[in-house]
Amino acid sequence: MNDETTLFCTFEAAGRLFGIPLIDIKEVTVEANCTPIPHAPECVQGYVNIRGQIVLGLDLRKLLRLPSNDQTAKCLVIMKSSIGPSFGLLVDEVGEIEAVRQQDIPVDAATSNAELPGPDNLIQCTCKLPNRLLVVLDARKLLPIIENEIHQASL
Amino acid sequence: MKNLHLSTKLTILSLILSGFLLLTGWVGGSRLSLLNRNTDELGTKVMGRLQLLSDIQTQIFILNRNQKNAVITNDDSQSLLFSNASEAAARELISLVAQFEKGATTVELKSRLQLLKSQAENLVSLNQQCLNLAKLNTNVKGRNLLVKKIMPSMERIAQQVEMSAESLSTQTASPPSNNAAGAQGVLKGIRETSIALMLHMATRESDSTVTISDQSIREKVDSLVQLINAYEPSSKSIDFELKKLLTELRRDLDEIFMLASTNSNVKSAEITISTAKESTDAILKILDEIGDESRNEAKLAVKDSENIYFAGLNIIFGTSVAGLVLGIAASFLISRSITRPVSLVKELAKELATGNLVSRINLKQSDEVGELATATDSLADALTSVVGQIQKTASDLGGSSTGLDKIANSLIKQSEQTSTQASGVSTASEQLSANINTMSSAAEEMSMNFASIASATEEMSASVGSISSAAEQTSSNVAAVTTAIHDISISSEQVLGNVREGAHIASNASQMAANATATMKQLDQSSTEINKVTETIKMIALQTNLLALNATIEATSAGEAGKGFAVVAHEIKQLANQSAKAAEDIANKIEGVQLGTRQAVGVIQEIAAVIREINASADRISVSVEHQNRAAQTISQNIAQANTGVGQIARSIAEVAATANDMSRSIAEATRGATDVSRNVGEAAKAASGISDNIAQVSLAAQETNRSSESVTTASISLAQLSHELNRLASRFKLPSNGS
Repeated sequence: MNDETTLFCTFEAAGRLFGIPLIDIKEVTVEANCTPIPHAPECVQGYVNIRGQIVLGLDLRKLLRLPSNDQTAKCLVIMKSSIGPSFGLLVDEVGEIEAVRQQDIPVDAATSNAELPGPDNLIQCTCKLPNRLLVVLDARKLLPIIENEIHQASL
Repeated sequence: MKNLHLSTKLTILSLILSGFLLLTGWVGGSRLSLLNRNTDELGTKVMGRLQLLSDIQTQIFILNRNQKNAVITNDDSQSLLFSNASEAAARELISLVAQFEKGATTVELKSRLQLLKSQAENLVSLNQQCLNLAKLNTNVKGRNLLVKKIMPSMERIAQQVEMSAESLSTQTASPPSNNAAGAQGVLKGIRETSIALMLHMATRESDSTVTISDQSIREKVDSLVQLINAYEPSSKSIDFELKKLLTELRRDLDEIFMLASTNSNVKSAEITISTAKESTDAILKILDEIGDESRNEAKLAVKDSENIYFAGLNIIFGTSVAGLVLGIAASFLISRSITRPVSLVKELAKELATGNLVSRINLKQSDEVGELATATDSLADALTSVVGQIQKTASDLGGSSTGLDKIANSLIKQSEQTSTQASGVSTASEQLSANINTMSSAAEEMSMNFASIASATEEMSASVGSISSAAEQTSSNVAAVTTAIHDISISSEQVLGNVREGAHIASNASQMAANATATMKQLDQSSTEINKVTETIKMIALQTNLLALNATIEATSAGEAGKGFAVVAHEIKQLANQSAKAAEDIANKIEGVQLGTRQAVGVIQEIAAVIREINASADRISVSVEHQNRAAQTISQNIAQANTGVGQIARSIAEVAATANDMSRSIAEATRGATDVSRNVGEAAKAASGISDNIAQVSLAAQETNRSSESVTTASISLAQLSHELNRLASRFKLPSNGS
């Protein structure tokens, strides 16, 4: 029995549960005001001022092409600077910190579809929680997606 | 601690934990830097010392090598070059030793260095000595002199001697002489000597034989010179040449001997091999000792560093444990200061829901939780005052309805009395009617039997007497009717008064219902305010939740060191969730209270409607009582008329009596009187029928009164029911015994 666990910070967007490894996360804040960026892709919500530090705010629902309801995103999950330039995900609600046992994290690529184009290759894996599934996102692939989008738009 | 704001408490907790984290970091850093400094010092000290030692060794080796080179080399200029290098090495050595001495700290080391210095100086002086000798390089010069000058001059001498011998032989050939033979002998000696000298010279190549052969060479040259001097020159030119050569040879030989006596190369080599080597060995030994000592020192310093490392480890561990303990204690205190009041509020809300308004929290705390407790207390106060007012109103209403019921009962009793009296009046009036009829028949009989008046006078007298008695009875009946009417009038007045009182009570009840409604509205407003407070608590709980989440993230970033902190952050998060749940509970309870309040408002409005109905029926009673009053007055008037009529009857009867008494006097008068009687009886009959009519009216009015009274009774019964229901609702709330 392997009791080693990995910690995930979970959050909800459009009623679905997502997670990012806790070691990639710098902090979680209540959503501050976004300053929109002209000509930015739709999923780039704008710049957010977090105690003097400027962070790029990405709307997770638009990024994953999830249905957007009238409810505005309430929380901002900020990534560590080791991931790349400072950016954060705007999510509906921040959930618990889930400790997932190593045996519940699938290692093979059957559950992750890194080969697929589009937003699907953001999904690192899908973990089994006691009563629902946790979709783990790869934070390192978020910014490249947007860069790709900008590149395609400029063509 | 108790009176701080929730966020301040949490900030204090965070400060404590991060302060200890920082303290741990600072202590760790300072210990590490101390360790680093120690190691650095050790490194620089020992390494520097070892470097200096090796430098000194190197310089000694350079010095020795150059010294030996200078000694070995034959070339003068090269020797000079090597000796200069050796001197430079010596100077470097002296400066290095001085530098080493400057950096020395311990006494032992200093004494060793003193020794080293003296040895080094000794070595340098030896070196100088050796070098001076090496520079002279006498052996080489001697050899050069030998090879370049003596050898050729020897050859030339040999040639000269050969030539002399030839000339001599030629001379001797012609005139041989003693002298010539002597000269020839001398020349032969010279030749032999010079050959021997040449052989010696050849052997001088090896240094070892130099000193041995020196003396023999010198003797051989001396003997050669003597031989030459002794030689009688035959041919002057040759001899002169030979003599000159010999003199030169002698000078050169002297020089060679001088150089050989100096014998610098051998001496310098001796110095190099023996004395300088000894000195160098001594220095190297001292250097080895110093090196060993330095290594020992390094070992000691390493041990020191280990001690510092373990002390630092203990301090860091101690600080971490102290921080953890302090943090857990602070979090326990804070959680206690939040959870206890919130659970108290929850208990109070539960008790409010069950209707117990006695208990209060009375929490002396000035943070948000304290405000919540105070607000809940004030809510309980407001509820208490409202429920007290409702209870008072209900009991008042009950009293009023009882009063109303009593009044209605007395009204019914009075109307029954009225009815009885009216039926009494009716009976009396019927009797009156019967009497009047009797009177009428008597009058008719009187009239008919006037003819037989004489015979019927006694009968008439009896009839008159019966009329008189009937009139008296009528009079007494009329008086009874009058009394009854008067009674009715008084009852009506009483009914009116009671109705007015009922109206007053009803308006009071209406006012109270309005008050209750206003109070309920106030209660509703208070509930809304409490809802706002619970919203604030929910917001605080959300922010606390985020704060705890961030704390967990920070703790995870801290790795193994943050595990304890992560546990604390998790506890805080759970507390925040509990606070949010408690706030939700309170909101739900408050909603229940609001619902109850709205129901109470509905009941009160129903009561108000019933009261208005009572008011309306009281008005109707008032109107019917007034009608009754008016009817009673009419009855009174009619009775008065009847009384007048009866009085007239009495008077007429008296007149009849007088007439009967004066019967004998005048029958005509009697006839007239009978007519009068007849007329008066008609009038009386008319009055009696009026009385009968009026009595019927009275009876009607009494019935109406009875009906109204019954409706009043019904209304008062429903009022009593309502007040009972209100009382039951209000009594669900338990009020403090000394309550407002």
